[in-house]
Amino acid sequence: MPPVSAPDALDESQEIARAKNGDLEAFDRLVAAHQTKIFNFCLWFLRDYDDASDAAQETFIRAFRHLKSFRGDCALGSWLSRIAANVCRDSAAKRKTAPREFSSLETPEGEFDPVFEGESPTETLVHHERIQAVREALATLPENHRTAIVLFDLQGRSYEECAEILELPMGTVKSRLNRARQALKEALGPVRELFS
Amino acid sequence: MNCQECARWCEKLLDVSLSPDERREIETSVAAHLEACPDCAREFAFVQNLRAALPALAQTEAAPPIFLRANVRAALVEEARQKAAKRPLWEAVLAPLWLRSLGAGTAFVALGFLLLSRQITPPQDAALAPQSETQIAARTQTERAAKPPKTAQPPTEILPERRPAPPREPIFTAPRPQLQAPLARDAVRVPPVRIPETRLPETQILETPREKIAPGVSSPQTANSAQKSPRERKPNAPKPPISPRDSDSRRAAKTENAPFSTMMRPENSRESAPETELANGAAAENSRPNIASDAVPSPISPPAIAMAPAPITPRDWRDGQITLARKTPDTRSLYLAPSNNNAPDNARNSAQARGGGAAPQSEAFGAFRPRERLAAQILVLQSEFDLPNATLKLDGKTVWSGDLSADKPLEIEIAEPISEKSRFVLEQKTAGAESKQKTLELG
Repeated sequence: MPPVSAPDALDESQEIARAKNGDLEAFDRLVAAHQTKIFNFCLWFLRDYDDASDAAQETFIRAFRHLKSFRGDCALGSWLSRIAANVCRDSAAKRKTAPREFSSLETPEGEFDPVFEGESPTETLVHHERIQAVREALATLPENHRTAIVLFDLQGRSYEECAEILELPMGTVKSRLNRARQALKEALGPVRELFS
Repeated sequence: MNCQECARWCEKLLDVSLSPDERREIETSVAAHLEACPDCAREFAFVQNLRAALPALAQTEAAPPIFLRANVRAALVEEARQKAAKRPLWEAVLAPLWLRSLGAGTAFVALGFLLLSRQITPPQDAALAPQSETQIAARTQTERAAKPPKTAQPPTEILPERRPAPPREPIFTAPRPQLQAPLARDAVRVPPVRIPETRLPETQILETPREKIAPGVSSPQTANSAQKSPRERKPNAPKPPISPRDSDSRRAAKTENAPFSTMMRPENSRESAPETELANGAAAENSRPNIASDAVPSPISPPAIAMAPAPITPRDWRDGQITLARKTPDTRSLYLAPSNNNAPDNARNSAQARGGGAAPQSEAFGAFRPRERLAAQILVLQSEFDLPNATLKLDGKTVWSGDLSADKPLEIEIAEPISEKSRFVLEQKTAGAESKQKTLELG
């Protein structure tokens, strides 16, 4: 499939209107525009590549089923992330009751590797180690803290969008973010020297 | 600035949403304290490096599976296909909204026509439905006024003679069957008919055709006989000697002219009425409803129009039918038996029944010869009325005896061979010494 660039607001609204009328091609373009963020959100939530794939697929299928109920009050990305959060919660609940035979908690090496070229090899190595340390520390956080940091700090969503996705008041989102950052700093305690 | 204030600034610095100006302002604010406090300087460096790592981590987003889009698309296509398969044909045909609206409108108009047609249904049809007494009385009067009388007596002369309706029998409270009752009986006044003091033979009662008992009142012959009856049946006229045949015909005539209250009386009372009347004389006659007075319809008496006798539940041999049917086929099989032994009874009987005389013999098997074995067959005996103390005989041999219920068919297992010449007779022993018999044909 050809790569699809992120549509602007006007194009997206037109694609949404077409998809509401059952245009699968238009919906496919919307999927292409949002699949990376949705998949990574699911991956951060579930910490399992296969489960995240299934969750992202289920998110888009549910979205198409209920697309007519999307009134455009919020961004489509926020609406999709809210669906993804619900799907991931369901998936996590199922996973607790029926654990996988072998876990793929660790994503394939290189998937998260950044394309970073430092001024020196040492600097590049330290940078990679810091990113890996943050990733591992983030993975140890509770789901609500991790989700808040992923949405706000990693995916760059606003407080309003985070409030819509997490279905929480904005004040609660802010306080949760502060607690999540403190928890992240505490989780990075053993490797604190990396960040000195 | 102290260390606590510096720590609060550091927390703010961790917010990735800070603009560069805001971040620069924080850095300027804490710069003096950081030079004096190495601990706060380490904390500040840690926060700054962490803040820089978060966007870098965000850049390391994993690529979604290459099959994600294809899977979503395939799932949605399959879902749409299943929906289309489950959609009813009419919905597929009337898929456009305006066509659906048109269909709904058509259905609404059709429903309206249906309701309207039911409202303007001819009276005889409308009268078939169960009605209240006031509706029945009003309809009776309306029809009498509209229709010319079929006899010399105008309806106006009859109306003043109407008497209060007799107490209704419970049987009229049931919903009435949808049949058309005769209209001629309304305007005919039938004089009282005295029942001759002749005991009807039991056989005569049994042989009375069913048509003479009840529903034949609507036939043209019934109307003619009802019109003739006033002249022919004058009470003072000399009576010819009554033969059993005459009594039968009178009984039929009485039945034809009888009001529905008489006709609808339970069968037991109808049968026992003549006997009681003969035994008790005038008292019994008074207790019985007067036929002539009953013939004059009262405003709330069961009207002649649209009122028909309820289906008479068969109570006895005269009304009900008894059927005998074969449930399992006549299954025969051959087996080898020693030639010296006697064949089983059923095989011998079957051979005799087929006219073969003795069982077939063959020397091909030496000391053995083939014999025929008849599998037990099941017959279904069903009666329209309860039949206690009954006995079913096959060629004079009792094959079953007991009580036969009208509600439940009876399955009788018979090991006897049955042929075209076989004769089934059903007997019932009554309280007296007499017994009733009926020959049944195997259906």
